[in-house]
Amino acid sequence: MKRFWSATSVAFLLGGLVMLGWLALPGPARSARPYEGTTLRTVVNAEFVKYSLSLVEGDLYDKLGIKLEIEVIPGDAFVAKTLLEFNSGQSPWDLVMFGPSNMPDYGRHFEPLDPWIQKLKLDFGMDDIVPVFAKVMLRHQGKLVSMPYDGDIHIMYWNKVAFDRPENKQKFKAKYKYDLQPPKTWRQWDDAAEFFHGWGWDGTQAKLFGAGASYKPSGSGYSYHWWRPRFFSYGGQYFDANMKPLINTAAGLRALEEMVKTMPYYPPGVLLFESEEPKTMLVKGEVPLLYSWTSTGKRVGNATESVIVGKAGFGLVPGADIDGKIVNRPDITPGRAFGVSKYSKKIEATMKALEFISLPEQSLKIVMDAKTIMDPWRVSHLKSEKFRKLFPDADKYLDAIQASFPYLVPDPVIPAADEYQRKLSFEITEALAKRKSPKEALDSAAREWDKITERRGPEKQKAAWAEKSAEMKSLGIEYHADWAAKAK
Amino acid sequence: MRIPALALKRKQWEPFAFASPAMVLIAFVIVFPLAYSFYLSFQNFDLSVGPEHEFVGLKNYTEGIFRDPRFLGSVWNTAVIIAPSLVLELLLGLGIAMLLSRVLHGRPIITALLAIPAMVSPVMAAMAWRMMFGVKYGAINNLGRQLGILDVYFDWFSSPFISIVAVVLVEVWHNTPFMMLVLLAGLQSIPQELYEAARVDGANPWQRFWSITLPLLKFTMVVGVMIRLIDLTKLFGLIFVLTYGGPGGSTETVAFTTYLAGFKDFRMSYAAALSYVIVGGVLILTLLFFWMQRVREARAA
Repeated sequence: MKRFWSATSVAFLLGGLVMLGWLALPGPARSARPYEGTTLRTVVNAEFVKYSLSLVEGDLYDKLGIKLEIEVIPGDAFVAKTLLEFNSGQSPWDLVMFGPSNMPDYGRHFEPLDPWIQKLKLDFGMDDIVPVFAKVMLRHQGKLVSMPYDGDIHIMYWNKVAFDRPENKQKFKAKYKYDLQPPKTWRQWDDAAEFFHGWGWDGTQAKLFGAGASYKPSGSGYSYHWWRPRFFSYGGQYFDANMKPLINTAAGLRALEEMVKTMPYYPPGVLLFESEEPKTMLVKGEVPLLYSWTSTGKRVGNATESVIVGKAGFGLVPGADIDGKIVNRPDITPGRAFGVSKYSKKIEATMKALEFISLPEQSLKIVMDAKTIMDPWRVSHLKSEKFRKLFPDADKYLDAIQASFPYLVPDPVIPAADEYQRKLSFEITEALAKRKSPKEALDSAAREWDKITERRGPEKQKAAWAEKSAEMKSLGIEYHADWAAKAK
Repeated sequence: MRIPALALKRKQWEPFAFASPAMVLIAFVIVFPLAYSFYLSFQNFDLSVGPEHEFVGLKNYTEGIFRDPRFLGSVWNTAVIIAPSLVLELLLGLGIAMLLSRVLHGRPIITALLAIPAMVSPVMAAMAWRMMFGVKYGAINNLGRQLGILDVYFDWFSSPFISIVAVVLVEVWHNTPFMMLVLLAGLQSIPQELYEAARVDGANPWQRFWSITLPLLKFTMVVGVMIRLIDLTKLFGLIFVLTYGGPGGSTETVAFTTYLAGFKDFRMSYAAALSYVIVGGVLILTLLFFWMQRVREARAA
């Protein structure tokens, strides 16, 4: 019995020592997870964004010990609900997704990144961010407050079957007196849409359509994104220096008149199409032409749903021929970014998480996955060999994105940007639904813009616009009153 | 021994004491929001600007009633949706209720089955109908093709008129069962002796309907129509999912426009004022309706 107690005591003593040693030593798992036990509350605007974060959540936990609790507020209520929290001086979220065009409304609620970059030696790979995004998406009053998450822009897609069939080429040339080719100007686009509408341009007896578009007036306004590249390539600009809207000038009018005139060449239902309907029609071979978000390319290359894998072309959104030079003005539309709430109690961990999610290899996983609808925003994304071989012609798709960067036009990123866009989008759809003439619709939109400016404080808006218009000028975007008349 | 005066006092306060938890709850969830939103409607509270706001008098009301073409347009749209919806729901509801009142066997089961659409939430109903109205793959267009009356590419939301027709169709499908139930209850409360006496007097079915059913069902019909009228002025979920107010603003209802003002433009005070304009409008309509009924009854008497 005595021996038993001695042996037991020794065993307990040894066990205790081993336990003590394990606790005292910094074990590999514990040192690799410096924020073990930290859960960050994150808010995003769609289930597919939540899914996109799931692609990096595992690594985030393994590396930092941080877990994400993700709340999805549907897109339509997202801005209202998040700003409601922020404007009351608090936020239940640590990491906040937002649309960069709403930066003037969100920016003041975000923690500036620079002090934390210095304090925690963070590396956001700023040199690897596509310059135009770094310039227009990330700063509030000069301070870096967010990192891109989704590099939304528009590029053009076409079905090569439609454009390469000899019969189609002959018929087109006979009718329009020039060669059928992927459109470079709006006139060519409209001609192609008219030509292809209503018959089996793929050699079948199917009833197919001229081109795709999204004209639903929800969210920040789809129809606005389809009007904008025409408007800017015809020399348009949002406001003059005194905040007088320029949307109802000749450029805006020409753009809208063309859209109204070509409505019959778009698929039935287009007035209520959101982003995905025309993409589906493109990948199912029902429309030969579409300019849309860059995420479309991944659907084009996804053989499980696409009938045009290896048969699609990628290029710049058409422009206007001004004095023999094509002026392209594709949209930034408007993308997604993440900021750290300044009301968060876990700012340090949130900064680390944001850095991790933004790392080139982590963000690449997100932008490569077709189900995320997230688009490349790092230079390294576009150069990634893995991405460039993801599907047939993925390299051409990524090159088309890269080729668009020098010409991109941002939203009017001033306070109430979202409201300006929605009012304009509503009026554009009023014209498309033929409830108003293009002139009436744009005049009405301009009046609404004046009301918003008045409500928000003309001087404050003017100052914000002065900053933004200078930024746009540095991107080569200026108002040209004479372009609308001479554009071909 | 108890003092009678004290007992009386207890009798007076006791019911209030028992009811007080419910009253406090009502004050919190109904009275306070109502009073606060009424107060807000005279301010210029704009959530996108910040929490500060100041008194602006009737500015929000005058803007809504006189200077906001979009809100005024939505009043018209709401009326255009309400009128045919109410008429169709009343006629169909009455017809089905009369048929049901003649069914001798299995009436409860048939009634319950017919009432199913009313049990579906408006959002779910709108989502289902949106799919059914779909171009190419939608059930309605495909059924129409089978019957040779529709093309699969028929766009139910191609024009303002067709969109309103689609909204009214869904609204009627969704709410006719409610009207049917109300009118069925009314029909069953009419004494059968009246019909028997009329039959003995040689009245034909049309005369029995016109002279007995309709007069005695009038009050039930008025109640049903009033409830539906109030419901229809709040029409939101169906519009939000089915058309989002489009194409253009052709199906934007007053409730939807108020939502946009409050939760998209963040003009909380303006949205509150619009809400009270709607409440005022419904109140005037209701009073007008009841006054007309009284005048008619007085004339008939």
